[in-house]
Amino acid sequence: MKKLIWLSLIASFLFACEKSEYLSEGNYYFIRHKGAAMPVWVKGNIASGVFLITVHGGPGSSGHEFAVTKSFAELEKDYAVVYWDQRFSGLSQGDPKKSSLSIDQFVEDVDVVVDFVQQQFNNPKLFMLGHSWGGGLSAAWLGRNNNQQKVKGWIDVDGSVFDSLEVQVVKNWTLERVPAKIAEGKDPKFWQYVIDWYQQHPAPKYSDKEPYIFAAALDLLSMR
Amino acid sequence: MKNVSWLCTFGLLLLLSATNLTAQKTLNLGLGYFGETATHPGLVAHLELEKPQSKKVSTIFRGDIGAYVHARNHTGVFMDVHTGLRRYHASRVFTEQYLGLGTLLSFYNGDGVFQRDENGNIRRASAFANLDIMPSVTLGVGYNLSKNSDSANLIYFRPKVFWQLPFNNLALPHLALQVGFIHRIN
Repeated sequence: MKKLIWLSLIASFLFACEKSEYLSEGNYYFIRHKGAAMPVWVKGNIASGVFLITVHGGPGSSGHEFAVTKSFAELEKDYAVVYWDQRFSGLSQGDPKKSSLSIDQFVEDVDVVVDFVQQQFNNPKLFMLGHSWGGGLSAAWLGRNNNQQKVKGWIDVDGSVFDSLEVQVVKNWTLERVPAKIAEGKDPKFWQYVIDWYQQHPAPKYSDKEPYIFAAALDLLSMR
Repeated sequence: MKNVSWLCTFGLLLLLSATNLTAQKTLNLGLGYFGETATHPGLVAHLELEKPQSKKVSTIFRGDIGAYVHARNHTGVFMDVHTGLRRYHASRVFTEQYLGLGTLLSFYNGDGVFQRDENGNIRRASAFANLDIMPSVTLGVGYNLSKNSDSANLIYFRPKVFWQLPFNNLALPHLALQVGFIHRIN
């Protein structure tokens, strides 16, 4: 029994000490800006001269989450990928002021990261990928100060870019499908409630939860 | 201002520990492995004062100084003081519990730290991160290698939770595991 305990301890220590991809691959920098110290992990095919800067979602998620996916491992074979954690997010450090939690400050942070990559890697061809909140943030950066000139292309993954349009599209998509659900006779009270809710809220806001709950209900049913 | 008041408290605690120094019966020296989140390696050295309250229970005042490296995150250098109890059980086993307060000096650990200067140029910046406050709670279990209680040589295992504050407007908890050796010097 004693031997088993010792072997388990030694084995767990050895496995814990094995160098992870996080500790060994690519280059790992910190960018200090307005109280925050934001990690920037650059890995993949740096020699390609083509860099993809990721702008993660949330706000409050982490750019490092992309790095553990198979799809980004595939991208890294051909291009360099920049995984950046925004202020107050992921592995970012420092003690920035709460007042720096503003769109303007986040846009400024994107700009610093872009400038850093351009300078550190001798003006590579830049692309930007924004996911969810990061889609909106990268769009906000692209729309200012002629920043579009700094990148060759932009990839928006489920980004919150045009909120008022999005909520209208969700409304139309839902109301087109609700009559069929009522006709099916499954839970007609709920689907009537959906129609009533939209009649009471003809111009729903992005902050309303109901349109997304209704759409999710339809989406889940369609997958059955 | 907050930091200053914390530091004053820390100084006061240190002073209280030092005041107790003259009243203590034994002085112990120790050295151990300090693993932040267990596997980020470091070292810790301690000087502790042990005042027996009974045959089985001692009051401990301990000062720690140490450092650890959390690769691609930060390097920490800390100094803290602890006050707590050590209880000796049968078979030379002991358990202990402490409250601590100190300071943590942290440095960003990576391939470089950069910032944009007032002219808009990106340039290298200092890796020095912060001087943070470091309160802690430590539990311990150990074994006295010496049969003679007057010449104690103790080995210990101490899980420690310490907080780093201020960090992103909150107190960031860290777990550390410590394994080491204590020798009674008088």
